[in-house]
Amino acid sequence: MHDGSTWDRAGLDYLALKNQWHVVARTGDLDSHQPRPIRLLGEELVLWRDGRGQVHAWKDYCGHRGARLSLGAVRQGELECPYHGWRFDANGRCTHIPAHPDQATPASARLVSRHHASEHHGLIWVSLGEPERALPLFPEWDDSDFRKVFAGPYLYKSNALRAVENFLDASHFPFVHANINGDPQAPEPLADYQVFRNEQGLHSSEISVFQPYGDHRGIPVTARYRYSVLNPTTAYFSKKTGPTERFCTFLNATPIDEAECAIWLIVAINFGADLSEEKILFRQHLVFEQDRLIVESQRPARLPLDLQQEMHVRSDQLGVAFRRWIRELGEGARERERPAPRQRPSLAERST
Amino acid sequence: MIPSTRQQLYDGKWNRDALDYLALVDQWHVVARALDVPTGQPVPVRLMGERLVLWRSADGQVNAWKDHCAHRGAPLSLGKVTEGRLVCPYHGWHFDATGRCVHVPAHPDHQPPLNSMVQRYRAQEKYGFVWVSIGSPVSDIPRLPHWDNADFRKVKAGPYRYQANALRCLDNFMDAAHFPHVHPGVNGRGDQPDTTIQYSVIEKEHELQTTEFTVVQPYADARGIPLTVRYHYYCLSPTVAYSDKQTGPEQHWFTWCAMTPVDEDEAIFWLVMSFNYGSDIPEEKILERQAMVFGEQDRWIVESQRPFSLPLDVSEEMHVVSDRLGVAYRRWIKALGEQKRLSAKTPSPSAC
Repeated sequence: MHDGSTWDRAGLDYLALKNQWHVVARTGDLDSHQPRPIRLLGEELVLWRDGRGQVHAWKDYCGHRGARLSLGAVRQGELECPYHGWRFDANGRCTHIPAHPDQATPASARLVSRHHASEHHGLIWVSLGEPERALPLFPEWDDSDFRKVFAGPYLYKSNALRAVENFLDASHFPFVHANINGDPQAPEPLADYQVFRNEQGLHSSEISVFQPYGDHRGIPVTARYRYSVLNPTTAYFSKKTGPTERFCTFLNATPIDEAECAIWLIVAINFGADLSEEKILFRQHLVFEQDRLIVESQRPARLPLDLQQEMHVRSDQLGVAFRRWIRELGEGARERERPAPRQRPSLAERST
Repeated sequence: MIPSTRQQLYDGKWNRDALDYLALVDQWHVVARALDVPTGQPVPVRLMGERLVLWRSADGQVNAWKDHCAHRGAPLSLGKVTEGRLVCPYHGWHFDATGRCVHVPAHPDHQPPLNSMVQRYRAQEKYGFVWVSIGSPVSDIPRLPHWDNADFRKVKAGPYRYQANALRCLDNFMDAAHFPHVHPGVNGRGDQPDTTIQYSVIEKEHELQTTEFTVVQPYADARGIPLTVRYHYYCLSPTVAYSDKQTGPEQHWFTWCAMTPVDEDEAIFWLVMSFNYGSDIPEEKILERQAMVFGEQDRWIVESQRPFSLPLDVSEEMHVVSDRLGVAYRRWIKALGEQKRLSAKTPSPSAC
């Protein structure tokens, strides 16, 4: 069901995201009784957890009379439609029709539509199509020296790719995060950096900036960032804020619709054991609220993948590389979706 | 700026190929009062579905640009004016009054491109208003009767915001036959409607005028007395008109109005009264009458008219003799639109 969505499904940005993993919820948001409605790339989906604890993401739609399955319930590990009580097992098979208990149940293919769902790093991930890339790894996730704090979801009325690009941009700090991530009175020149691409995505070399309030301790630091884009809607930075201090952020942006996204953060820090969670979250909320205002105001809403549509300077290198990668992913998906050209039988074949 | 970007950046409702839209392109329109644009602070406005930013350069000159920075699509109106330059809110880029980017804080030594990165429009101040044209104006800013004549007292009223098309608003302003019905007890007698609205229309090059006609008004001007008054209407542009109401042998009450075509179904009504009597009438009394007539009674009827746009094909509506001015107005708008459509198809020699 793509009802009410404005996102052009033939657009390269949409195609680039269709076959990717996207975070849609936190693990704790879903219990084994209550299905949960979510939206991804303009589609209405239902999340539910079966008897074995496995997460499922289906279209929020029962093929019998079009009701939303998310209004139903999970009973004995099966999803029950709210309208006529039809039951569906984890494989999407209809197992029970209460009005006709003895009748054979219809084939599931016409009743439910399933998507890929997985749990990883305390988050629930869904892919609408066949996932092209592996679930991204947060390097500090298994490192017990790092304290993890979840922040968000921050809801932006903006495109997810605009939000990810904003996260990868160090040159807006003095203006959008004045006196936190940069000094508005003396905005610093940004030294050149390199970007390289490998299997794990895009990575920048170190970018050094002075920050009046560089991490959750609230002290001025010379911060040294390394950014990565691990998947189209998953980005990461590791920031050195002292000789041993590291402030790392694993960001996911759910592409809810063309101009709607949700930002999920996992912050990992190896300092300030005495810092309260409130103090950590305070800084996160502040910075992402400032970003929200600017990202929501950008036009056009979708990230321009044709580089000529905007201006670029050297500090935009990572953003430019990100746009190119998204474009390539979109073109690859478009190529694969194109129906194979029909083979015309050769003369020799025809004559036989 | 690249045409495809401009296309995507337009998020107005107005069909830009429609004749009514085309007729307004090469005209001056009021978008704000001069006092609404302080030094040091950019101001967002909308005109014909476009988002614009107004700001003052160091010499006090007002500029009207597309509210868009070509670097990352942020609206310049969220920024600030520093040392006579407009500063983008996102990355702090500075633009001088000619539209050139003169400073990129992340790269102070960077030589920004010479070509303009912003889309500039013509802007002027006159009669205490800021006037903007998104095209190439075919005539000067329309006159305002006795603006420089000290014998005429001037009072400004409005702005009144209408959820209606600007041309519908102006058509209503130039119509005397609705007085007894929409303004009973004020501009006409509800129980005894005038039957004297007979006039001819004089068509000049950039102007429509009526010959004189009389109406009986219970509350003819701010003095609040019943009078038989003599009217002349003058339409100076598709969005500017005035009435000259003679309320005594030498007494003239001019009501001049300019309509901002904000979008297809949105307009702002600005009024200036100039009159050579009644120096003792308190301003509040004048404003109170205008707020009732234009801010409430007319707004209520014009917002209810369908279709939203003024029908330019005169066979789409019915017309009687008192509608002569409205009919001439529709024909004029249509001719202006057709001229514009024709000139847009024929490339001008200078564009080659």
